[in-house]
Amino acid sequence: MTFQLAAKAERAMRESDEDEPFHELDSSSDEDEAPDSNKGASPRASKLRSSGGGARGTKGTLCGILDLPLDVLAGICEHLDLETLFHLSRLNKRFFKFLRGNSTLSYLWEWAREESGLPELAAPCFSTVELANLLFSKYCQNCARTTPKADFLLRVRLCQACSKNLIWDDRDLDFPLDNFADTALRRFGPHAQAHRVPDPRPRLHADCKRRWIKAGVHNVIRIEKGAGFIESGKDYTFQEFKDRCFQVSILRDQDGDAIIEWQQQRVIEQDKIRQARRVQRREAIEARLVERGWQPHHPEWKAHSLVNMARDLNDKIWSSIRGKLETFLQAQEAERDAAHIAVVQERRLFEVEQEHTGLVADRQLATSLGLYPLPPWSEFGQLAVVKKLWHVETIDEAYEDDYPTIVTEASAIADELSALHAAFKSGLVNQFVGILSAFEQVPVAIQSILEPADPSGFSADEEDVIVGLACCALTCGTCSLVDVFPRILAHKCKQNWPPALVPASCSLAQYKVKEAGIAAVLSLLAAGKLDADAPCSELDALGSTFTCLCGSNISAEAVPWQNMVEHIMLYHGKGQAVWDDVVAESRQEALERVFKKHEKNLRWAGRYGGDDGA
Amino acid sequence: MSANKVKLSTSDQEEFDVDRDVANRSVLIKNMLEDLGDSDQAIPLPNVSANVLKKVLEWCEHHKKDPEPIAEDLDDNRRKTTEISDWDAKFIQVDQEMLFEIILAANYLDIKPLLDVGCKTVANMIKGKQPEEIRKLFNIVNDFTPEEEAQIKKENEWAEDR
Repeated sequence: MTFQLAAKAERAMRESDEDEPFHELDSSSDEDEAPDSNKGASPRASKLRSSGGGARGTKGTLCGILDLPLDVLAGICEHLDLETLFHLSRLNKRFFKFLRGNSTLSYLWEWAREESGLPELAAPCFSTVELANLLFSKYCQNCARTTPKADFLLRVRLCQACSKNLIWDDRDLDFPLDNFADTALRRFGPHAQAHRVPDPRPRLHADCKRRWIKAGVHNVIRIEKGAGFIESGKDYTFQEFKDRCFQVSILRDQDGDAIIEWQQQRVIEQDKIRQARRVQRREAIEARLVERGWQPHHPEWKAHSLVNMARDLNDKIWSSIRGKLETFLQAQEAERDAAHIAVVQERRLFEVEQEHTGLVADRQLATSLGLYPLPPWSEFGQLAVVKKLWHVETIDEAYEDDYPTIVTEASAIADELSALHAAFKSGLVNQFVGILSAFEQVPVAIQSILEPADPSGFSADEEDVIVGLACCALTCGTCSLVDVFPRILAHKCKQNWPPALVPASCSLAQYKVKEAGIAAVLSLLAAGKLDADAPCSELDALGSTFTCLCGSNISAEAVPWQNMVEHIMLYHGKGQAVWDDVVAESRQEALERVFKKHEKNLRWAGRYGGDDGA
Repeated sequence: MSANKVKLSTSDQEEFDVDRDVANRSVLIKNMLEDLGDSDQAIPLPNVSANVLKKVLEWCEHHKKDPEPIAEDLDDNRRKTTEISDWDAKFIQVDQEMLFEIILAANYLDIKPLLDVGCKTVANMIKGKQPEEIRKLFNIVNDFTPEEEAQIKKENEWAEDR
């Protein structure tokens, strides 16, 4: 089998227009059509091999390199080394024709040789492509089997079997080389190889026998084929042939040494690269392990099999431990991340709580931020916006240096608090309306307010009017304080134990709307000569003017309406007719009344105490 | 239209107003501008789409103050260095389709330094890879028949009659 296909390709390429786009170079050939599902069954497509790499027969959409103009493709090849260019030339027919069959692009091979740092060969008749094949091909040039053996003197890559068949000892030749005493051929054979192969027998290229020398010709040797030794078609005397072969043998010897030196240098460089990669990989692994809590000097860690393996990390070990190591690292990472998140979350929770405490104490700041009145931390900390301040979801959030605070998120928190207050108000209105609707004697003035203009419900303005009524008072479930919304949300709630004043809750569930309370306020409004639908502000304007004549402690002084409501609910309960006992009077009037009530006892005390008028 | 501005029209009929010194990075546009003189007409670029031209102009904008390469040194410089500047390396980090589009646009617009960056990038993608790896990288079909492949593996011109 000759290399006719390649030769044909070369000829076709030479004849083709070099300015043609790359994909049009072989447009006349059906073989170059990209196979698709329909063509898969065609006889020509069946000639394509079906094995040897995932790319075969699966031409994808990103084959942009095939659409590049030839000069651009040549521009890419200008930056390639010889090995890559050689592999590129064997990709497919188009690349083969482009790179091997185009004489104007022969400079690419020279540039690639220089890029690779390969020496320029001194011996003639050996192209850079042939050199690339000798260096980078993996296949026997006779049988195409894979072989690592290359002979740089004979410039051929042959497997062991083909080497035995084709490279012969000159003593096996069927013409009397021995007749030429100290012949160049004999000299040429063993000279260059003696130090490279263990067998020092003189060897000759098989073709020497077949083509270069005609046996039986004395003194004149006719060389039919050049093949690098001598110029083709020229007659040589024996002495000339001898000299020529001697010179070529020296040159090839030099080339062989230079190539071997280049290979050794390349091995060293590749080893350095491999070593650097290994060190880099080991350092990366160590860094990741340290990051996850590995203490390199800890005895337990030292003894760990994975760590020991990683110390002498080559590709084989790396591929064997990579999966386990990644699993191990992931598990460690997840555990470590969870612990770190918990710590950071606890710290941020403390910081936000401290900030809340500070705002509770600094009413002015809280007001300026729109957060007054602040609910207690138990409620404030559970607001969605506030929760985001301290809740840490991911490890990235945990490592963030800048995170929001109550002050930076005040606007969003204020919005959420407003929504809570609105819900509080609506709930309060519903309770109030529910109680008053069941009330036996609802004042006429209030009845009209209890009917919404829109049957579907009260508007915001209507709700404001209702909660603004003085009779719409509610009681704190914790400290029994009585007041109206929203003022009651700003009170400091007195807890029995531990003794402290905490912010009032903003949850309606923590408050009570009592029928007795509403009745008490209505009685106070009557005592103060105010209308039943009077707003809270009018009752406030009366100040500390309410006194109960029931004889309890509070009857001794005039108190604000809230205190009086508390007193009525505490001492008189629901349904008792106490309204006549409640009076609205000034503090002086109250003192005078009380003094008059106890005048008799005071006189008696003065008479027997010996201190008149005291 | 200002004298310092040039209007470019892409294949998808999108128009770009570009500084003249940016547009002059393209030898094609530069020559057209010299031939046309001052004109308000948009220069048609039928081989370049808008998204590709946007990328190309980004490169031209960054390199607008670069000195013009001397023609005779150009080939030698291109050959000697395979390194790409950091900015160019980041710029050219695009998908394969866009990479080839940029190369084609640079070739069409005659922006040799950009073409060189594209070629070097593709070359670096190929370097050190085995044939099968390159085929996978560029989705290239091995269309050699088994017989042809065997012959190529042999590369045995040394034994042929010539």
